[in-house]
Amino acid sequence: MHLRELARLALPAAALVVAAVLSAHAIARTVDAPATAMVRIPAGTYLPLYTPPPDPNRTDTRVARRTPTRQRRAVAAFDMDVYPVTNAQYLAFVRDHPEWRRSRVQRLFADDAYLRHWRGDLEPGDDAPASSPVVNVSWFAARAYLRALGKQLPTVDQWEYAAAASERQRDASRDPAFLERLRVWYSRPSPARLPPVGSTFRNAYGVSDLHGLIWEWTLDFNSALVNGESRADSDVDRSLYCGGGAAGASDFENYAAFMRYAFRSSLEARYDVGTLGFRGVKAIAARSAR
Amino acid sequence: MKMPRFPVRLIAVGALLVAAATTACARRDVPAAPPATSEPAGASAAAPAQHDALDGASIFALDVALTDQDGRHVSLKELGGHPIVAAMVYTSCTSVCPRVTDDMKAIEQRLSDADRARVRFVLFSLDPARDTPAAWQKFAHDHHLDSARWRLLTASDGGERDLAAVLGLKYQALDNGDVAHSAMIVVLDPAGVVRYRRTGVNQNLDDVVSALTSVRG
Repeated sequence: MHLRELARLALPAAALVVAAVLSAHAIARTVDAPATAMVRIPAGTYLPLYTPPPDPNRTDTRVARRTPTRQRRAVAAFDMDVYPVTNAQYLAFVRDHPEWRRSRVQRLFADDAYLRHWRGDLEPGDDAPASSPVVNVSWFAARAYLRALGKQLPTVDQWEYAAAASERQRDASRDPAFLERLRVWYSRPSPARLPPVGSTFRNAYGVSDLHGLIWEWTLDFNSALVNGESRADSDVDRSLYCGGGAAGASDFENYAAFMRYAFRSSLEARYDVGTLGFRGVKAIAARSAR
Repeated sequence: MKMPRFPVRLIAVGALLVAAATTACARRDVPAAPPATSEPAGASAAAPAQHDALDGASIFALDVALTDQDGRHVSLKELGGHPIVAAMVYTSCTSVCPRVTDDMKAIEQRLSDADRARVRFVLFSLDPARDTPAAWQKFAHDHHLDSARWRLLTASDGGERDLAAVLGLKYQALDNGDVAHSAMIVVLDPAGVVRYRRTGVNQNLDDVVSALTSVRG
């Protein structure tokens, strides 16, 4: 009797514990999976929107600059995060790295919009759901987060190469239907509270959310639009839009690529933007890249 | 045209770019049109695009290991205590870099003796693999740079990327070994705060000189 009563009490308790452990596992899995999940992006080439002229530092090549030749660029194999970094993941980072908490971050590395949608230093709050991508993070902050994991930001080449893929095609950059979908996404205002990662499509490489959720930092975001020509530096490079405009209708249709290049060119490394997050990549050893 | 939530400062460039793309690049100095659709001002706090002073933040907060033309290891902080005229160049550059250096030398010449004595001239390398102390020594010799006032510095571990980021310089390493980059001269105060940035070469230097002389150290 005594034992039976004990069992009657203990069994539900044990069941509760098991359930709690299981759900904790489930939660951990949904939260942790994006942290570690990377996919191999094989080597290949892509056609950038913009190819720098052979010698852009020369100041006397105006004609050449107006008609840049666009060439496919080679991209070596690399590993890329399946999802953008989430608020939950970023929270874990600022717990471990107090210098990146909102109240302590140095102004050199993040402007005053840093994590502004979070409720507090260690409290993302309702506007920053755990599984939604973290935004309002600067380039410096993104790099620090990834460095702690042995990762880095993708280069523009890596990002654009991976992002040229649709669900089925690795290079959908000439697919009118795909470009039209991107155009529609880009023209849709972002919701005040971002959806969770994984809520847009997974592309042919297995990478999710490259389009349609947020914009993403790149390592060399400040590399486009370089121009050694006097007085043209602080403006958008003529040869970008001239080249783009002159390069044919198929290129001009890639409105989304124009938007990305324009957006990157407008950034500074300390800016924090409510629609701008990031994900990591890893270089792979030469032997395993083959 | 509706767009995702951007601060106005960001969307303006995009709007300009797209507008320009559709108008066959007729003009350069198109005023940045307001975006066709802008989100409420609260969508993202944004400093104005021309806000260059980094909120008074010192670049000395950047932890970057540097080596000077004499092979000495230097930190950014050690450059403090003097107004600084800085630029990012590389020694094998044959076009814009020499002009930037010439502009800095012209600035040096225009300063009063007292100002010249307290100002330091700093070049950071954009080509750390090739800009060894020996390469900088040759560069200093070829350009007649006074080593008492000029520090020629190469960063380790990719630190040039962070330097470019805090100085606001755009650059891109090209496949042929050249580095395309902004022709930019930056004035910093003795605490390492950026006080003035100027892009372009072959222009009147009055603005840089006046920015420099107004920086008190």
